Amino acid sequence: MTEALPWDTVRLAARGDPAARRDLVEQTIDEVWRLAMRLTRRSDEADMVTQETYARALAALDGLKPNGRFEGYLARIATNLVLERWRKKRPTGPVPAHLADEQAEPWQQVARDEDDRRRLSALWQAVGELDPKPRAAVLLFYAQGESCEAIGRILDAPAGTVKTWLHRSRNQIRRRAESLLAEQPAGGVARSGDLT
Amino acid sequence: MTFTNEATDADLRDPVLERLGEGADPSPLRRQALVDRIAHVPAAEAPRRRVGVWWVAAALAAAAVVAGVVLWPGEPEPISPTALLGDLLGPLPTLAAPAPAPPGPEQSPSPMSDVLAAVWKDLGDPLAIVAQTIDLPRVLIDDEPEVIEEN
Repeated sequence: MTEALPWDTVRLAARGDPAARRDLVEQTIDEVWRLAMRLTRRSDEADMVTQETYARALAALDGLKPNGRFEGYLARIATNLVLERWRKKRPTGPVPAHLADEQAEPWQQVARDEDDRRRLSALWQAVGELDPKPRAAVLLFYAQGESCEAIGRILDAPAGTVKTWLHRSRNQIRRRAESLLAEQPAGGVARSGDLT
Repeated sequence: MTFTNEATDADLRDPVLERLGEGADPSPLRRQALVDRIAHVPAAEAPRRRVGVWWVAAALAAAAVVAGVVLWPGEPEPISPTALLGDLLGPLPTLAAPAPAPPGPEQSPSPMSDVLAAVWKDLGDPLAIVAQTIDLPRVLIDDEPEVIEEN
């Protein structure tokens, strides 16, 4: 997790200072885009969610109280935008031709070899099958490094509920990913614990 | 099984799932394009600018009112409604003297009895009709044939 954005920058940006506004975007955009990419798993969708997140956040800077991390506020907007999309089950269109080369899913950029790619692919598929809120909680906790309290604020749920979601989802993901790996063994029979 | 609130975040950590945090970094070009697009959208400044425009408009209106009061000519002269109407309608044309009436047959003034006679004459016919209407049933009864009783 990157260093928190100072609230002074937010205050200046709220007053319309263009330099502060740019600083605010520069210092937070990586985290917002990563979250949007992990939730949507498509870079063009991540772009749209990121832009919409800032449009909403910057329009409401005036009334914002300095409470917690500003990044948490952005994460809340981005997550809710994606949850809204998931609930509407909006069909995602085909990948635009000019983005086809950039559409590698997150794990495809970091997989060390074919086996690693398969493991990460199974892991992401299992995450994708979770219900919207537990899925968002898993990604915010494990991928973004947010605390249970912060996730509770983002998803409008008590921290205890977040912990329950995470505990259940962790077991569910492991079982589902191992089953996926067993269905498609590469170079032999899948063993228990292949996920690790 | 329900996970209780006593569990800490550390209890939930999982190195396998933390691999979900790998990758997903925007390329430098994409990042720059997004920053440029987002930072240059004037949406957040728009409300402030609109408020400024309203303040300027209000100040100009107030200045116009003050200037009107200050620059207005001192003591207004009383204007009579007649003069105002005269200004609006222009000079009224002089009325010509009425032309003399053409000579006609001389009529002697009717005495009151003539007037009453004329009214009575006018009423004569309606009274006759009313009288006839009243007499009519009697006439009808009179005209009925007599019933001859046969013993």
